Amino acid sequence: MATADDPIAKLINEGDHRQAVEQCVEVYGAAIGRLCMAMLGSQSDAEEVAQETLLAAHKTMSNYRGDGSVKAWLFGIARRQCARYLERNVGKHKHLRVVDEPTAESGPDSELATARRAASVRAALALLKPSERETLILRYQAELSFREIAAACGIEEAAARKRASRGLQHLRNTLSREGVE
Amino acid sequence: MQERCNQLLEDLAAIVDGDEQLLEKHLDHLSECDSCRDARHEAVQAAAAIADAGADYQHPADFGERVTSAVDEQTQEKADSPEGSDSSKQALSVAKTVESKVVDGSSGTSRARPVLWLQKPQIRSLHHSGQTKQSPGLRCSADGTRGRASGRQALPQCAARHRQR
Repeated sequence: MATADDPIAKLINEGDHRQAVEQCVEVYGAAIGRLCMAMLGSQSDAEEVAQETLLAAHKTMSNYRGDGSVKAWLFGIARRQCARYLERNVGKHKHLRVVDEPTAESGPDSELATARRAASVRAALALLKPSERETLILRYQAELSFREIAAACGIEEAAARKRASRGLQHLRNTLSREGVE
Repeated sequence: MQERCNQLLEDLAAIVDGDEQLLEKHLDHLSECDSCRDARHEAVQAAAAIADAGADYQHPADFGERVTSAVDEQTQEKADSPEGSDSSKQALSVAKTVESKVVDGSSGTSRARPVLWLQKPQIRSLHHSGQTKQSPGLRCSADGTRGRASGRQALPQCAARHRQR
């Protein structure tokens, strides 16, 4: 959606920031949560960082220039919030905390299978460079275009494609080794 | 051959996305290089797998309420600055009770739980007076747990205070 036609961008430009953040929650709240889950691997951390993302967005709405889509802007904030969280905790946990072992209490079999598969993919993603991992998650999990990824990460579009290509090369080797299909 | 393989691998993401121009460019090489054909196949599978990386996230039913409450808190805090003029007693007396709907994961039903909300300056005031070591911005619920998002993390000093009540 072009920024000019985006109702959330319109609300932001009109200064109705509370209404804008409510719309952001409604339209992108769950997607931001899933992005945070993909990056952090913990339900409670994902909830907390998703909330921090929307709070940070509200706080900086007056700086929103409308250069890219609202989605790219929000997911860019989410990426930074996740990175901040991981960097702050990486020393404490010695390694990235991106895998929560699903337990038998997780729910029905299909839910358990989903959780196991998601955990396996996150484990494989954890072995990538952060820049490659984030690019892959933004592209294939959050479904941002390369142009939006470039805006969210502050890089050129060609660089975003290159990061994704390299990330895919590394990831396919890991997934093949671990038998994730 | 190796150079063409490297070129294809550099364009792998675009090829996975179905960029027809790039696909056309690499088609001859793809048709004769097993390694690159396998690479493309595995990359498509990897991209599909990444889509599931956050699939086990369960979006809380009260997420919107939490965010708008926190936004209101943020706005109030901005309006109240300069901060720090509240005494700890005043801070406690103005703690606002709100209802927080918590979804019971096992049954899917929701129940209401009273939550005490403390504004950041009030928490700082308590903190400075030595009554609590709780971090600013975290909420203290009626059952002595805390956390902006989940409320699952037990807070010993809060739990003790709630038991005394």
